[in-house]
Amino acid sequence: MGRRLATKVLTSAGALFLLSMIIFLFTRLSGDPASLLLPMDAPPEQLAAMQTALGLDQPLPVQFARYLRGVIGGDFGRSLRYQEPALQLVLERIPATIQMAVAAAAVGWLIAIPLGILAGWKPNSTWDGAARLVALFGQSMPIYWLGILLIMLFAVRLQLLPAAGRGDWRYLVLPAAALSLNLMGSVTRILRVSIRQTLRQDYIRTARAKGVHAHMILFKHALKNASLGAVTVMGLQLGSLLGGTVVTETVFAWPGLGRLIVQSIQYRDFPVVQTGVLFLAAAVLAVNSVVDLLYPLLDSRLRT
Amino acid sequence: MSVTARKLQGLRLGLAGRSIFPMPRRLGVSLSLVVLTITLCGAVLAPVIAPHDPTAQQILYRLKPPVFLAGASPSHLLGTDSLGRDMLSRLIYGARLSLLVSVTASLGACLFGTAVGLLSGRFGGWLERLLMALVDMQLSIPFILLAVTLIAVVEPGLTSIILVLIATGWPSYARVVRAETAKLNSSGFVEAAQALGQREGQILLRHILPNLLPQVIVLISMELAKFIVLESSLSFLGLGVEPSVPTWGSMAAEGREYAATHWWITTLPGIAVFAVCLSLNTLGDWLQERLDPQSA
Repeated sequence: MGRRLATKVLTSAGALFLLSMIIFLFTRLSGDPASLLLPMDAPPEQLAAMQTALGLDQPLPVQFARYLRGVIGGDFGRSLRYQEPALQLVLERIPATIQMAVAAAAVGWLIAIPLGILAGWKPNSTWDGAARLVALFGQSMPIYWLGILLIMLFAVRLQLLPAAGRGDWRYLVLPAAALSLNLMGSVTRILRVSIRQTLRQDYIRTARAKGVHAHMILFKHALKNASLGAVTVMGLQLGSLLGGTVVTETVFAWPGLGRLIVQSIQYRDFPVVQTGVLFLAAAVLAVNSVVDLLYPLLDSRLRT
Repeated sequence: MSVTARKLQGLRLGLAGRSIFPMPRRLGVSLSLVVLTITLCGAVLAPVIAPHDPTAQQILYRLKPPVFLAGASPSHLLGTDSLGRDMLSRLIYGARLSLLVSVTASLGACLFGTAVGLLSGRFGGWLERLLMALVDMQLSIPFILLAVTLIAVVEPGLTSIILVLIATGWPSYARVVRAETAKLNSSGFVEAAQALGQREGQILLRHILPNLLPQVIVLISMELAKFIVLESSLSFLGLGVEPSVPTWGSMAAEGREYAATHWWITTLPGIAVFAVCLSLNTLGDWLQERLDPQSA
C-alpha cells in the first residue's frame, strides 16, 4: 500500500513537472511577454529594461528554475490583463467549476449506472437498446452543440430555465445536463459489458445451480466484481469532466476555471493560462490517484 | 457452453427478439456507410459540387432559411448565414477541412502510437516502462485541456492543429498495441519464427503487425470520431484554424447569437458533426462486435 502510494505520488508529480515545463517552454517560444506588456510602439531601450526587470535576459533553464521556485513558494506570476496575482484569479473560479463537474457527474451517474446494470442483466431487451443508444449518442454529440440545442429549447422556446450565467440551482440544470450525456455513454457501456462477462463466469453458474435468487446473484455476486471497471472509468471521467468544463463553461457563460482559461488564451494572458491549466491538471491527477488507491478496497486480490 | 447451445444463442441474437429498438444493425451500418460516403465525396469534390463560393458574402440574401421553410431563396438550398454566405457550400467546405485535419491526424497518431506500442510490447524492459509512464502521464491529462493548452501557445493554423491532435491522440494507440503485442509474443507462430532465426524486424512487421490490424482499425474509427468532435470544439472556442476558413465548429459558434431567431445557422453544422461521428461510432461498434464477439 505504502509503495503504491509512493509510486502514485511520484508519477503524478512527474506528470505535473513535465506539463509545467512544456507549458513554460511553449509560452516562452510563442512570444516575448515583455513586448506583450508594453504598448506596440515602445522604444527598444524600454523593452530591454522590461526584459531585464522580468528576468527574460537570462537563459531559459534559469528562467524555468526561477518560475518553479516561484510556483513552489505560491507565486504564479501576475495576470497581464487584470494586473492581479494569477493564483488569486484561478482560486476564485475553482468553486464554480467544481460545482458544475459534481452536478454533471451526479446526474450522469444516477442515470447511467442503473441503465448499464439493467442492460447487462437483460441482453437484447429494451434497456439494452436504450443503453446502446445512450452510449452511441454520448460519444458522437459535441458538448457545445448539445448545449446550444438545450438553450434553444429550454431557455428560448419554453422559457423554463435561464440560458447562461451562474445563480441558483436553475442555472445549473442545463450545463450539467449537457456535460453529463458525454459521461453517461462510457459508464453504461463499460457496466453493460462487464456485467455480461461476469454473469458468464463459473461461480455465477454455481450460484444459480444452488438456487440462489436471481436478484441476489446480480447484486451480491455479479455487481461487486463488475464494478471494478466502472469505477476506473468513473475516476477517469471526473478528470475529463474537469477538462470538459472548458467547453461547457464557454457555451453557458459559466464563470469557472475553464472559461477563464479560454478567455486568457484569447487575451494572450499566459500567466493565468499556465496557472489555470496547472491547477486543472493537478486536480485531475489527484482524482485519478485516489481512484487508483481505492482499488484494493474493491478487489481483494490487490491487497498485499 | 456446448456447441449447440452456443449456436442456439447465436440464432436468438441474430433474430433479436424483444427489443423495442429493432433498428437492425445492418441497416444502421449501411446508413453509416452512406453518410460517410456522402461526406467523403463532398469533401473531395468540394470545388466541383459546392453551388457557391463559401466565403462570398451577399448582404441582400442574408439570413435566408433553408428551402423547406417559408421565405427561402431557391438558389440557397440550406439557406444563408448572417453575412449572406451559402450554408450548403460552407458545410461542404467544412467537411473538407474537418476530414483533412482528422484523417491526417489519425494516421499520424496511429503510426506513432503503433510504433511506440510495438516497441514497448515486443522488447519490454526499461524502454517499456519509460514509454508507458509517458503514456500514463499523458492520458491522465484530459484530451481537450491538453489540446487547448498546446493551441494557446503555438501559431494557429492547419499544421499546428494536426500536430496538436497527434500529440493528444497517440497514447490510446500505444496502449492497445502494447497490450496486444505482449499477448502475441507468447503465441506459437511468433515463437516459431524466432526459433527459425528470423530477424526482429521481420517478426514485428510480418508476424505481429498484421495480427494487430483488427484492433487498430476499430480504434481508428472511434478515434477519428473523437478527433472530429475535438477539432470542431476547438474551432467553436475560436482556437481552430484561422477564422476565415469555414469549419463546422466555427459555423456553429458564429450562428450562436442568431440561435433564437435563425436556428439553422448553428443547427446544421452541429448535425453534420453529429451525423459523421455517429456513423463512425456505429461502424466501430459493429467492427468490434464482428472481430471480438466476447466484448459485445
